[in-house]
Amino acid sequence: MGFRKWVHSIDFVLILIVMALLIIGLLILCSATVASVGAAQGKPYLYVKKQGIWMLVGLAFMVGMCSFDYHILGQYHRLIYIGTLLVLALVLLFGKDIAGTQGWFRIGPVGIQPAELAKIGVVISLAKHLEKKEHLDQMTDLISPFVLVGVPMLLILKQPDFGTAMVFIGVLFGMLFMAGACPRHLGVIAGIGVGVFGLAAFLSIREIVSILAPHQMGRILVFFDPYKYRTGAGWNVIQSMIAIGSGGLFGKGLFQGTQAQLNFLPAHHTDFIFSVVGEELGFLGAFTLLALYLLLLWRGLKIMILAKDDFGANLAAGVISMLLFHLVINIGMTLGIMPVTGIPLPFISYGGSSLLTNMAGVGLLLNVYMRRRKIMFQ
Amino acid sequence: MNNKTRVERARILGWCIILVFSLLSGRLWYLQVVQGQKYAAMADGNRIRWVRAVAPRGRIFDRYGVPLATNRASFTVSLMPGSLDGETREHVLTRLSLLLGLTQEELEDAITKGIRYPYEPIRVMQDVPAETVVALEEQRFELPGVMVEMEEVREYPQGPLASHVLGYMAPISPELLSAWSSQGYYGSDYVGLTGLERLYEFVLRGEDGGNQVEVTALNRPVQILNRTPTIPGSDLILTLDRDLQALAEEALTEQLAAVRAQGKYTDTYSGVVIVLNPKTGAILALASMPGYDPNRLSDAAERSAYYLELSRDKQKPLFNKALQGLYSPGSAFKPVTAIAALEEGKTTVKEVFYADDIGPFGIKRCWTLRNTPPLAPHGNITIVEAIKESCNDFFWEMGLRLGIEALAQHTREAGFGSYTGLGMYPSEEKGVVPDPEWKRQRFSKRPRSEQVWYPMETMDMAIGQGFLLVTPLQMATFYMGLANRGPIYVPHLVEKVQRPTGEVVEITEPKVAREIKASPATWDAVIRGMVQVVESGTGAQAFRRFPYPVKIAGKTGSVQLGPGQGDAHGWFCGFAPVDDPEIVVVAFAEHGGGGGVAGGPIVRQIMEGYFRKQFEPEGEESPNLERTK
Repeated sequence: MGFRKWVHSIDFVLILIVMALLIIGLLILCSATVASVGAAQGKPYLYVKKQGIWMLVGLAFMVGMCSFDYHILGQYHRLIYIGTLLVLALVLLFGKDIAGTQGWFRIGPVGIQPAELAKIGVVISLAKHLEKKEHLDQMTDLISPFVLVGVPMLLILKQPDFGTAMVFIGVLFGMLFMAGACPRHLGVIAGIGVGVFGLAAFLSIREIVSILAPHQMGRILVFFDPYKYRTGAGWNVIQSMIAIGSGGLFGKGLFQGTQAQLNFLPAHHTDFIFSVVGEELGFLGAFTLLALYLLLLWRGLKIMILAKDDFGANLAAGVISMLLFHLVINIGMTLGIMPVTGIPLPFISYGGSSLLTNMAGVGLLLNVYMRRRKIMFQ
Repeated sequence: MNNKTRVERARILGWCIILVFSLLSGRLWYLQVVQGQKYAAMADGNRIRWVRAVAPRGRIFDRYGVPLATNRASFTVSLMPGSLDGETREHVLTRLSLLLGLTQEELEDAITKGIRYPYEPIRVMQDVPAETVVALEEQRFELPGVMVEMEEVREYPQGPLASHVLGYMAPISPELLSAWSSQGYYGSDYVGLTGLERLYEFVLRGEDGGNQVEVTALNRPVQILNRTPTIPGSDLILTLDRDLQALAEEALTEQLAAVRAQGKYTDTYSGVVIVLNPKTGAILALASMPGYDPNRLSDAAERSAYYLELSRDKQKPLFNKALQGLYSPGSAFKPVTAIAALEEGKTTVKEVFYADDIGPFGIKRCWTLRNTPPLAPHGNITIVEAIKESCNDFFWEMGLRLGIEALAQHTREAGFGSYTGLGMYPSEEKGVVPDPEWKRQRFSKRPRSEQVWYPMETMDMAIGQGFLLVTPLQMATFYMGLANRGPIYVPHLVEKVQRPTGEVVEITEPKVAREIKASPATWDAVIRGMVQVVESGTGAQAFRRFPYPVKIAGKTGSVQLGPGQGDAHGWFCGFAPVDDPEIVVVAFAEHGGGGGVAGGPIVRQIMEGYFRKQFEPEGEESPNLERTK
C-alpha cells in the first residue's frame, strides 16, 4: 500500500468526530472536577491529568486496533472469547469492591474494569460466530449466539453490574438484527425478556421472592417516583434534572454550574457528566454533543455498509450497538426517562477502562473501513 | 447475507437511531427550554440558604426598671440528617435519644417535620441543659451530623410573679403558624401565648435578619450573597411596681391561708388583688391567685406535664380571674345604688329610714337577723350610716324606689357591663348588667313567668346580688371613679414601649374612659359613708390601728352563694388618701367567707406597705419620691 492509498483509506471524518468528543470531554471534565472533587482531594487537576493520560493510551489503542488486518481477530476468536471469560471470572474472585460492585482490578494506581473491555471481546467473538453461521432464519438458530453472550453477561451480573449487562443485551440484539435474524423472532424474545424481568421486579418489590439486589430494586422504584425517594436514591435523578433544566437554552457557562460545582449533582464527573454539559452549556451545547454522537453513529453505519465481508459488517454493527446503548441509557438516565444504571457516557465520562473500550471500538471501525470493498476505488 | 439486505437493515437501524436521538433532544428541549425557569428556581433553592439570625426579644420591666422578663443564652441541639444513613443513622439516633431523653419516635418526628434539605440542620431540642451538652460533646465523634448551637430563650427572673400579666412563651401552634404566615415564623419558634407576651408579640419580637448564603450540597457556606440586619424587639416598661405586686400576691396568699387556718372557711384558695393609680388608670399590681411559673411553662422538658397539672387544678391557675372571672359584687356595689338614689332624688342625705331589717315583701332578711346569734336590726339610719353598716334593708328600699331601669342605667354609667379597655390576652369579660329586656332574652326559651322581671330581683341587684356579674377589674375602675369623684381612666399596664437604645416608641397617656355624674353633696355622702366603713363600720376590724395618718375609704362585700355552692365570696374595695387619692385597692377572695374577714385585711396590708414607703423612706435609692410626683 502506497502512502497516498493508505491516507486515502483512513476515515478522517470519524477521527475528527472522535477527537472533537475527546476535547469536549476533557473540557467538561475539567469544569466538573477542578473546583469540586479535584479540589476536595487537594489536587484540582488530578482527574484531568489522569483522563488526559488515558486519552493518549486510548489513541494508541485505536491506532493499534487498526494497524493489522481485522481478519486476524477472526482467526483468534476462540482465544479471545476464552480470555474474556477468564478475566471476568478472575475479577469475581480477586477483584476490588468499589461502590458495591466487585468489578475492578487494581494495578498500582491504575484501576481496570474488565467488564468494559469484555465488551470488545464479546463483539469480536460474536461477529465471527455470526459470520460462520449458515443461516439465522429459525428460532433455534438464535440459541448459540444467546449462549455466547449469555455466559459473560451472567459473570458481569454476578459482580453485580446491571448496566453493563444491559449493554450486552443491546449489542446482542443489534448484531443479530444486522446479521439478518428475523425481526419477528427478536421481537418475541425481547417481549418475553421484558415480561420475565417485569415479573421478577414485581415479585421483589412485593417481597415475595428476592431476585433483585436491594439497590437495584431501589433504582427501579426511584425511576417511577423520584420525588418519593428524594433524600435517598431519587436525589441523583432529581438533581440531574434540576441541573439540566436550570441550564436553559445557553447554559450557565463552564465552571459556573451551581449544581455541579456545589456538589448537589452526585457522580457529576462520571455517570452524570451529561448533566454538567446540560447545565453549563445549555440546550445548545447538549444538542451539539448529541449531534456529534449522531454523526459518529452515522459514520459507523456507513462503515458497516462498506465492510468487505460479513465479519467486518458484524464488527461494525457490534461497535455501533455498544455505543448506541451506552448513549441512550446514560443520557436517558440523566434526563429522567431511563432508570439509574450507572454506565458511563462514551468518550466524556471520567474513567480509563470505558475510554479504552470505546477507543478500541473506534479502532475496529477504522480497521474495517481501511479494508473496505475495493469497489469504492474504481 | 447479500449487500442489499445489509443496506436495508442499516437504513432501518439508522432511522431507529434518529428516532431515539429525536426523543432525547425533545426531552432536552422540554427540560431546558419549556421548564427551564422552574428548574432554575429549584437550582437556586438548592444553593441559596437563608441563614436566619433571630432578633433578640424585647424585655419587660416594671415601672422602676426591675426586669420581669429577660433572655438567657441556651443550647439547641440540631441534626443534619443527610450525613447519616443505614447503621450510622440508627446508632446516632439511639444514642441521641438516650442523651436527650426523647423517644426514638419523637426524634424521628422532629426530623420528618423539619427536613427540607438533607444537609441542612434541623432543630431537635431547644434549651438543652449544660450537663447534656457536656455529655454530648464527650461523645462528639460517635455522633456525626449532630451539632450544638447557641440560642436565646425567655427567662422570668421573678418566677411566678405577675404571671397573668406577663403570660408565657410556648412553641408556635400550627394554627398560629398559618395565621401569622406573613410574619416569617418558623415551625420551631417560640411565641408569646398569653398575657403581654402575646398581646405585644410583634413588638417584643423585633425583626429577624440573616444572611443569604450560597452553600454546597453538604451545607458548607461558600459565600454570603446578601445580609439583612436584625432589628431587636422593643422593651416594655410596665406600670407595675414589682414590690407592690409581690406584696399583693403575698398578702392575698397569706390572708387566704390565715382564713383557712381559722377553721371556719376552709375552701378559700383563690382570689384577686388589683392596685391602681386613680389619677391615671395605671395598674400598680394585678394578681390572680393561684398563678403559675412561666419559666416552667416555657421549658421544653417540663411544659406538657406542668400544663396538664395546671389545667387539672380546681383553682384554675391558668385563668386570669382579675379580668375574666365573673362574680357578684355583693355589698361593695352599694355605692352605685347610693349614688343612683341620691341623684334620682329618691332619697336625701338627711332622710332617716327605719330599717327593721326585714325586706319590703317580708321574705328577705338582712344579714343582721341571719347572724348566729341574730344581731339587733339597724333601726333608724341615714344613707351614710347605711353604707357604713352595709344595711341591706335600706338599699332594698332604694332599689324599689329607683326601679330596675334607673338602677341599671346608673350601673352602666359606673362602667359595669362594658369593657374597661385594658389591653390583655386573653381579653377581659364585660359582665352582665341585668334589666327586664335582658331577662326576657336570656330566658326566652323558658316559660313566660320566668321571663318577667320581678321587684325582688331589683332588690337583689340593689345590694349587688342576683343576676349582676362583674369582674374584679370593673370594681377597680368603679372605685377609681369614686376616688376621683367622677372620672374613670382607661386602666393600663404598659407605661411605654421603648427600643433597647432607649428611644421611646410609644407612651401611654392617661385617657378618661367615662365619668360618673353626681353632685358634690352626693359624693360627700357616699365617700363619708365609706370612710366610716373603715373607721367604725364593717371594715373597722381590718383597719384597726392603721399606722399612718392616712384617711382611707372602702367598702366590704360578701356574696352569699346558693345552697351547695360553698362559702360566701369576700370583697374589699377602697382608696386612699381620701382627699387626694393615690391608690385604689381591690381584693377579692373566692369563698373567703366575707369582705370583712377575707378582703379587708389584704387591702390593709397593701395600703400599709404602700404608705410605709412614703412615711418611712428607706434611703436615697428609695424610689418613692418618683412615685409621689
